[in-house]
Amino acid sequence: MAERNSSPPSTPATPPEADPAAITKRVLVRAAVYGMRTEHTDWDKVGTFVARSQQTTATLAREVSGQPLRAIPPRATPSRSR
Amino acid sequence: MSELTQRSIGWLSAAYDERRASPVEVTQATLDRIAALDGELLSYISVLADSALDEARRAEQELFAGRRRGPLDGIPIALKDLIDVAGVATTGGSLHHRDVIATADSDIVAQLRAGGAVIIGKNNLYELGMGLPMPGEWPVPARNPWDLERIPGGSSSGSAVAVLTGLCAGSYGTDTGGSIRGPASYCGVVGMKPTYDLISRRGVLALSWTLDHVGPLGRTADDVAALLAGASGSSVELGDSIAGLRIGAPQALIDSTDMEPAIGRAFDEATSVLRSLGARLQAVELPELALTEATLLAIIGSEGLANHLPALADRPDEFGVSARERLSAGLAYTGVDYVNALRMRDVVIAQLDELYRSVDVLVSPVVLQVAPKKVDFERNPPHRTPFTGIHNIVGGAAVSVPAGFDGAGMPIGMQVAGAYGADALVLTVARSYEQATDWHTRRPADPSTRTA
Repeated sequence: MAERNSSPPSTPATPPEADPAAITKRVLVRAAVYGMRTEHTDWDKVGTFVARSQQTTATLAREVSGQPLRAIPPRATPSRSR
Repeated sequence: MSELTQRSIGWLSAAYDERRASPVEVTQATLDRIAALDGELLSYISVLADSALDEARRAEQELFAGRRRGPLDGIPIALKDLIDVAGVATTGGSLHHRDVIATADSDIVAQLRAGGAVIIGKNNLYELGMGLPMPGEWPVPARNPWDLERIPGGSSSGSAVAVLTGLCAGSYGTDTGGSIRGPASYCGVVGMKPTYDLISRRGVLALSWTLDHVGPLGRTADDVAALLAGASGSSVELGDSIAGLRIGAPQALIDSTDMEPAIGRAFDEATSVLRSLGARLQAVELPELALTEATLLAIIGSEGLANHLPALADRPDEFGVSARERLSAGLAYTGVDYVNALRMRDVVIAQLDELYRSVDVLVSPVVLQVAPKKVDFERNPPHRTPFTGIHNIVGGAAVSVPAGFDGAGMPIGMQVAGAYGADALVLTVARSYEQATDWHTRRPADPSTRTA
């Protein structure tokens, strides 16, 4: 169900531990979608590199779930309002 | 060494106006110094000696005829090698771009040329503004002039090294999460990330369109103000005093990090200096670090991969190991992740807008450590930017100013950050701090004069 303006966070307080091996597998699938040559890259290292930030990405999703839906999209560039 | 290569931009400009020095003389002295030192420092990827001397002759004619075109007329300036100069390769520090010749000047170069600046060369950098240098890869990274076994930081590494050692009067770098301010702190120069797009990004090789900033590095806050004015075309007038200024320090964030003790001591002493100048210091809270880091990573990861994907997909062997892995990490982010990061960016902007109602500027350390030894860096590179990245998210002005040295003689910087458009204000604080200290005046011995 889509969020509502006052909906409380519904995801766990602590995001699940990111699994580098699972990330590596997912990343390789996407690399194939984009037609990337894969033979030069250590994909296990990519998975490990991503693991930490994936945890925080889950945190992002949780945090913004409390934000109201907006009539305008989020800004893609910093504010010039001040 | 010619003293001309150590002079401030203000001194040189006055000397030109009074004919005590000439642009050709200063440009030649700078080129001679590059020839003498840069074999060791490696701060340049390309030196544009012939065209620089042509530009210096033209500047000399104009200035000596009483026609000043701008604050950088006749001043030898360098550019990070992500910035297009027509007819010159913009390598981006990457094999993939090494032979790609720019067909037109970037906006910043056009602006600098119109103001009479002398473009002396293109500075070394970390690959595409984000890859870490690895042994055996091109280009060989620049070295820290305070200790050649240490790194100068990145990604605007060559810019900081060249400015510190007088291999240019000022340089322009790019900063997506701290890539100007970090090297400035590691090398002991002033480095500024101006307000977003105050200096045009057109013609600058992008990493992340919405986080990239082009900004100046100089030896003093006044020099950086002149460099900012010269590249943006806008007036940058600094104030005379910071008495009564409300300065916030994110003390809880500072206390939560595992920074080297010398960094903390230098910061405490710096805030004491600011208090002695009449500023009112108060502790403030910034948005949660985990959120700002996640926002930054998701945006850089998504935009960086989108930008470089065509080349990375076809020619991965033309990217360094680190750049390849870091760009490929962007594959992990989904469209939802990117949109959530933009939503969080809105929240962070609103929180800092609110914070800047109660304080005029924020001060903090710049990085968590002094410049590490190259061998340590290659084994375990510092990867966190808890103090700098948030200002890329928000787009406000932020500057690193020299604020001390550790026990090994390595420089330490202090960051002064402000709201969108507060460029002159943060430079005013930096200059007031400089006037009360002498950290910015210290210089390392030239490599060639050192004893083993």
